[in-house]
Amino acid sequence: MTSSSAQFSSFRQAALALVLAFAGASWTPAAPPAPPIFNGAEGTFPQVTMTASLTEVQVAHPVTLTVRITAARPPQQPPQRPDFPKLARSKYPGSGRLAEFVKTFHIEPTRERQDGLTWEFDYRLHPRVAGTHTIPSWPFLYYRPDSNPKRVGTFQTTWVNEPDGLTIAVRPAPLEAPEPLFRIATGSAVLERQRQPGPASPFLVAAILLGPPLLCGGWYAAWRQLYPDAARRRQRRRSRAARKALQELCTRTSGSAAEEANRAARVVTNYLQDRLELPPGEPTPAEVGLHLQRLGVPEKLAGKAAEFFRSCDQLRFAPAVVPAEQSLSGIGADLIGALEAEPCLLSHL
Amino acid sequence: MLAVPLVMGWMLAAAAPPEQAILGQAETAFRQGVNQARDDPDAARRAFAAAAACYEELRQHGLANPRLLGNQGNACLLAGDLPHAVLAYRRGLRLAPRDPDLRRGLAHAEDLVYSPTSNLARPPEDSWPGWLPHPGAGACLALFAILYGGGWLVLTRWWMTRRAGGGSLAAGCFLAALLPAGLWLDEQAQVRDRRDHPLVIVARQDVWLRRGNGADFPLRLDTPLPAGAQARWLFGRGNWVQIQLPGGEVGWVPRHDLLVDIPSSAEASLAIQ
Repeated sequence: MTSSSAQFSSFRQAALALVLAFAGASWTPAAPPAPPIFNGAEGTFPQVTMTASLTEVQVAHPVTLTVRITAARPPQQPPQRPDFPKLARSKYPGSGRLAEFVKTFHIEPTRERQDGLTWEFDYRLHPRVAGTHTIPSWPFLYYRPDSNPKRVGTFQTTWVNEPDGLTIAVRPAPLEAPEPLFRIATGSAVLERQRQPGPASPFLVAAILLGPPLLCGGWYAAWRQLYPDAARRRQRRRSRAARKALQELCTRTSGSAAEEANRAARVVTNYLQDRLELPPGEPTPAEVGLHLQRLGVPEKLAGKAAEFFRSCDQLRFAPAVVPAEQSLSGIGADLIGALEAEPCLLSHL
Repeated sequence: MLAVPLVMGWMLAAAAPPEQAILGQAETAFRQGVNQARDDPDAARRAFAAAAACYEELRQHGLANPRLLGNQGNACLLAGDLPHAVLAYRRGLRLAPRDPDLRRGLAHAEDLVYSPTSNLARPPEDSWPGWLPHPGAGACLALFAILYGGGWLVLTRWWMTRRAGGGSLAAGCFLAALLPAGLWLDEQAQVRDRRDHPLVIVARQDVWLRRGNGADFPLRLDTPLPAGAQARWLFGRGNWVQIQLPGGEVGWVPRHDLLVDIPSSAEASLAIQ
């Protein structure tokens, strides 16, 4: 707004106020529209300064900027915290330099305090790049009411730290890192080409899953083809072992009880070794019972087998002590019959 | 007579792989940076940046191995380029998850990215114990194949001969095969997850995470994302990408603010509307 038009506007408002005063009405002139960089303060602020806690700092290290606003008298509206990004976006002469400041520093508002007619606003600045950076002078725009309340006031500008602004030297940060990071690998290994792990091929997975059962199925079929009598021989061997043992046990012999016990134990042992893969040698009753249980024979039947061998041992080694109650050959034959009938052993060998 | 060796020398020089020359340049630049690190940090950073550019050129030539990527990560980190440093370390750890140099470099880079006062969660560390060898997917599959195939062989032989213990041995083989199968399946799940939701890294400082795919949408977080922050690509729409941070926060960022860990030609296969 030019000075002549401002004066004309003031004359018009004064004339209007005079007419209304004669008419007995009271009127307060409206304030003019505020420019974009208006701070919001209403009063008289002759002094606005900014200072930095450090004028030399390292990159990313903070420095505190303090904006101090002093009023001549108690204001109608106190000053607000200056908004540097907003100021930089406003189109005033020199706003480009302030935009550079906003880009170079990360600005973080912190503390604000008031002491009488002085307001202080602190900012924590983090410089992003090294170099000598200047916070330029910027306008603090406030509204100064006229001494006559019937008159419109004016917007006044106080340029902060005019003309040089505030200079902060930012040193580059030293290059610090763990010592191993200052080393690199050398040699031909650096020029290798390795493939990133990717999903497995479904054909490979199918081959791994289906290959073994198919191959084993073919192997079994081939085995049956090559050895058709193997199953039959297995069956015959099973029944031959039992027949042979039963035949021997049923053969009457003249001998002492100890000799009969010895013969019965030997026959049953041969049967178990031939039919059920009992380990060679003379097993103890406990070993027989354990072996049968391992094959899946019920505990009761395995216990009977162990008891049979225990009885044989007693008669063999202490015949005068334990009288024979029942023919051990008969017990052995019964045992063989029970084992042959046991379902879990039907498919064995 | 002289022409023949001259021509052969020229042919040999022309046929020398360019990768070797680029590698030489990278190593020279890196050593120069190391020598200048104490006296002139800025010049050292420029030298490390030149070395990082050479390593990236080698990678563009199709070279990929933990050593190269570790060198690239170190050069980027010392040059002050945290996003590319994190990306290089992550790529290297995919090839060699147990590499101590890569893990050390990544840990240091993450220390610089995630400040103690930041409310952003760091990516979780690898839960695999460091003392336990980590079998690769190929080793797990091979072990599974051996145990599984061996189990079938033992089972078949037992069926033929019905000798005691054969069935138990076959069952034991099948049970033992479950462990490498489980590890392999877990690895495959991770590979698919990386393919469908690749790693993204914030490329610039102070990128804001928003609730929608536009600058007009409100902010998702009160603080911007730091350069080097890691996330997963969820969805792409136009020039915006929906990402998920390690803490679970989901939001949108501009595509040009991200480094994506897949070739640009493969981005089309990602979920894009």
